[in-house]
Amino acid sequence: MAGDRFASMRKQRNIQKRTITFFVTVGLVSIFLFADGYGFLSRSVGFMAVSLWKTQNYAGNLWGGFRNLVRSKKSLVDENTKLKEDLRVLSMKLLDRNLLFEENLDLKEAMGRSVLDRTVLASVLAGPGQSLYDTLIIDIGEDFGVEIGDEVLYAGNIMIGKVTEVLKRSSKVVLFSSPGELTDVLVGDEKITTTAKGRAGGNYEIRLPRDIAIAEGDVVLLPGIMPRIVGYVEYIDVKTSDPFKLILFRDVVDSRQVREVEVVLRDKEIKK
Amino acid sequence: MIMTRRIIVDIVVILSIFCAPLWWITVCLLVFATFFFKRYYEIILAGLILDLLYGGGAFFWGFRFVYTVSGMVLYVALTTFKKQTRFYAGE
Repeated sequence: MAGDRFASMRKQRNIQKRTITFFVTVGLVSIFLFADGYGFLSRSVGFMAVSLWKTQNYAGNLWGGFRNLVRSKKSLVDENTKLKEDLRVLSMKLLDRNLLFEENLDLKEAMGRSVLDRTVLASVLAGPGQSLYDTLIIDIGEDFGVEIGDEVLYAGNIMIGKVTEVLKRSSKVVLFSSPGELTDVLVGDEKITTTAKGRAGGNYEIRLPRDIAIAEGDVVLLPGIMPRIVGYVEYIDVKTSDPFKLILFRDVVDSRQVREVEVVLRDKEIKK
Repeated sequence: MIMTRRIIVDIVVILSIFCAPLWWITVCLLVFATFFFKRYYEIILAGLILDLLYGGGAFFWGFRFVYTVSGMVLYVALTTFKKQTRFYAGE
């Protein structure tokens, strides 16, 4: 008798637990779907994450400084000499490019098109390797006037992605090479307009009719008054049974090693 | 004792979510923890945090809860698998 009573009480408690769990789950899902719960949680988690990432970067810099202290003086001098030589060679190579670039700007300005962008520098807090989504988290947000859709450059001229989410002190950048991401590009000497699809890890694919002349090494650009480099064609796959060919190319820069980027602020004042 | 270990592992997992240079390090930790601890629901929470932090773009046709759903699937699969093996960690 007592055993029956206990069994019945246990059964009632189980039913109550399941009912509460069901209503809590429905409540949480409703908040997510109808009350921008995703946005609220994303902002909260992002807010906490920024402080942690900045602490991690600071600790990394301290550790790097400490390692340099204990390295032998000779190895530091050798590395310094090599880096200076590399820099000198690169500066020579850039002279021609800078002259042509300025001439290009002058010509465009003479035709009434101002092409200088207002950019703001940002540090990368979290890189694409940290998730499957191939996104970057940068350390500027609403505080610097960043808005959704702003373009993100590396080394001033290589566009790598666009801002898709902006928080108070950070932003999320989706790389053009993110899986499934579609980007309009120009390929080859004839600047053929087509769409590139991201394959993650800085890789892209394009499908073009087989008879279009594209060669390995052809440049891939983003369209615009100031064409920006995306990458260079690395591999072309042609099958006799397929009327299209598969063109693979990759970013000129390894996004996992990017530490600083520039955000292009479209026709806005830089707030800070 | 087991609760202390679980808390320590949870802290390591959270640090891994934010600081690990490669995503599969976090996934391996989560799989290990699900195997080692009973009812390790934190795998689903970790998936949600990963989606909130890094989610975006056209990956998986724009679905933003890839890690959360993967966490649920992994939890069910690993829990089922654990019960079929001799080794079954209890609390």
